[in-house]
Amino acid sequence: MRRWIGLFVYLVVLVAFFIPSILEPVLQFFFPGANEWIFPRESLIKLTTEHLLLSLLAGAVAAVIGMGLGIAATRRAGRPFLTLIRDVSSLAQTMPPAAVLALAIPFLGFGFKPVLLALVCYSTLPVLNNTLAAIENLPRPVLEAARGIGMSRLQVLLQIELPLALPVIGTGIRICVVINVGTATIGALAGAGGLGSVIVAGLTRNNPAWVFQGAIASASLALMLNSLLLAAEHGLQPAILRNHIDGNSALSA
Amino acid sequence: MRLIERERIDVVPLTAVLLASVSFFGPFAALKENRVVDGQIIRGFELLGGGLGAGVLILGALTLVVALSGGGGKTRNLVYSFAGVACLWITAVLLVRAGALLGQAGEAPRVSPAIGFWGLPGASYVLIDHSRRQAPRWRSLMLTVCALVPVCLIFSDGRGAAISVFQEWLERQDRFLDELIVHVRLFVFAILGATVFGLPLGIIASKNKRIERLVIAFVDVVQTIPSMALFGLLMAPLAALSRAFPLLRSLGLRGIGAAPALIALTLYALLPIARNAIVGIASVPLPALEAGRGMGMSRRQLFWRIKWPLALPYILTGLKTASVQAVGNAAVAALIGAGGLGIMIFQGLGQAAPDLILLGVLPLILMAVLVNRGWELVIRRAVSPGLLGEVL
Repeated sequence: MRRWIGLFVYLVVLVAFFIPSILEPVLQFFFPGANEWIFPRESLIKLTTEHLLLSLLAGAVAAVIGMGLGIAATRRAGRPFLTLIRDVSSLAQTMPPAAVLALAIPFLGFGFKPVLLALVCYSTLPVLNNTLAAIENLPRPVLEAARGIGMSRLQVLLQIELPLALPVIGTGIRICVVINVGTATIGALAGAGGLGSVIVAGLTRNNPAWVFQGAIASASLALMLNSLLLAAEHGLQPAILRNHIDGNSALSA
Repeated sequence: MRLIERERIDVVPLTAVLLASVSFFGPFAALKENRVVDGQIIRGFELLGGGLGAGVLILGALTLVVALSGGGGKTRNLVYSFAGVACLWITAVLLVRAGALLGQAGEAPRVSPAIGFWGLPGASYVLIDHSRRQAPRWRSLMLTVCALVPVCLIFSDGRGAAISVFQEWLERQDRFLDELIVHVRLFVFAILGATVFGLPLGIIASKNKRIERLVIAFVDVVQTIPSMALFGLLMAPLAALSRAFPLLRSLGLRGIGAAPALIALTLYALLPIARNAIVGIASVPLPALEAGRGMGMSRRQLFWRIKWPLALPYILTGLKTASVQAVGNAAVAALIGAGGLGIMIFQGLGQAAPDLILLGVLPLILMAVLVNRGWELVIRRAVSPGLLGEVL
């Protein structure tokens, strides 16, 4: 229940920010010194939509890559690549997203693509780590029982391994999406729009009111997605496992 | 029996060979007349004159043969290590040769790495990473030295001067060093500050469930605010503070510059540090604590002898995460005039000069990787070997 209250609060904050007649007095109260309060170039609702789409798309790509690599590396043919995959993806997360973005711009041009690349590089690791951890830690007897009743390897993967691993993988995807919402603000540096463009405009024009609305909008977006995905995660878990998994993400967060 | 003992085909080095061939058959570098034009693309194999081509062929063939045959582990490792190191040497030689092809036309002729350039260093990474797996730790250090020293030697006598990044560096040597120092200082002080506040915060919070929930909620919310926005949000209150208190202003506290950047970076680094301290202390098994209490340990002994060593892997992992993040976030601090390597990145983006971007990005990535490695070494040394499996 508490989870839904949180979700509702963030949603209300976000929607209130979309209505200029509510937003303007608030900003005027906090920043009496500014000369312009509402960001004039784009509506906040459009920027938030762009931001959301960018983060979700990057999250989806990272989830597909992370799960795909995680599943591949735990198959028999993929085993030799396990260490390499792990090392490369932690190297990818070590690289600052702003650096990856700047590196990619000369090759991919300004706009959407370099930002997507930077976000995917930065956020694949949590999905991959959780996929690997979940599949590796499945109880042996369950897998042996599945093989014993004559399931093929594919059946074991689809009917045993993935359903049992799904809650932990879900945690990885949630972390990945939340990271992306925060990081997607750097998209403004490549001209990809999103809430970062309000923030950057505020920084360069020395207008804290703009920075504030961009920051609060993207933070409430992140918190909202976090509680939404958390609720979905709980739905994914078989009831019997529910108390089991909660403390799992501390090290990979 | 023999069948089981025989080693199977080693598939990972095949990826390395594939990556390396991208360098030879894809666009390796661009010869440009100046910073902005697109330039003439050159492929890696076009630079393979003389003995080098034969050497590369032999090396590739050797790697393939060793990987495909079921040779012994030691020979394999030796070949892979050598091939990995050689890949870096070859990259350097190819760059120098591309520089020699460059005419004197144009105001600042240069060689810029193209997308295929990254194939050889990538292959080197894969090979060294793969061969390192069973090797003792000193070997990986030696490999790094073997790979880097000859590369530095190749460039040291000015033969690398045609390479675009070097040119940008030559143009602003002093500036580069200054910004590098500013960057390191920002990140070191942020981590120091976050450790001084974050560790006690985490430790105190873990004593009381309500404080713990509060601290976690606070740091979680801070983490969702984008770093760029946090810089901006601190500008207004700090500017007001410095207007109100001239003393603070004389101490260097202003709305723009190092002060808000440092505060924002510290707040950011606080999260992983405090959070992991809480999680680490919570992870200490109750029986261990009870055993300690049963032996008559005082509260202080209980903390230093049981909780601290058992929580250490988590605490140090938090420091590692925080440090790596801070290196990257410090680059964004250039947006509010705090300086650092970000300056060159943003200037490069603004002037559409990829070479200048590289000059900022390469040291940044190197720094992040080194910091990561450094903390991993610390973790290996400081953490009890029985607990290492949880973090490394």
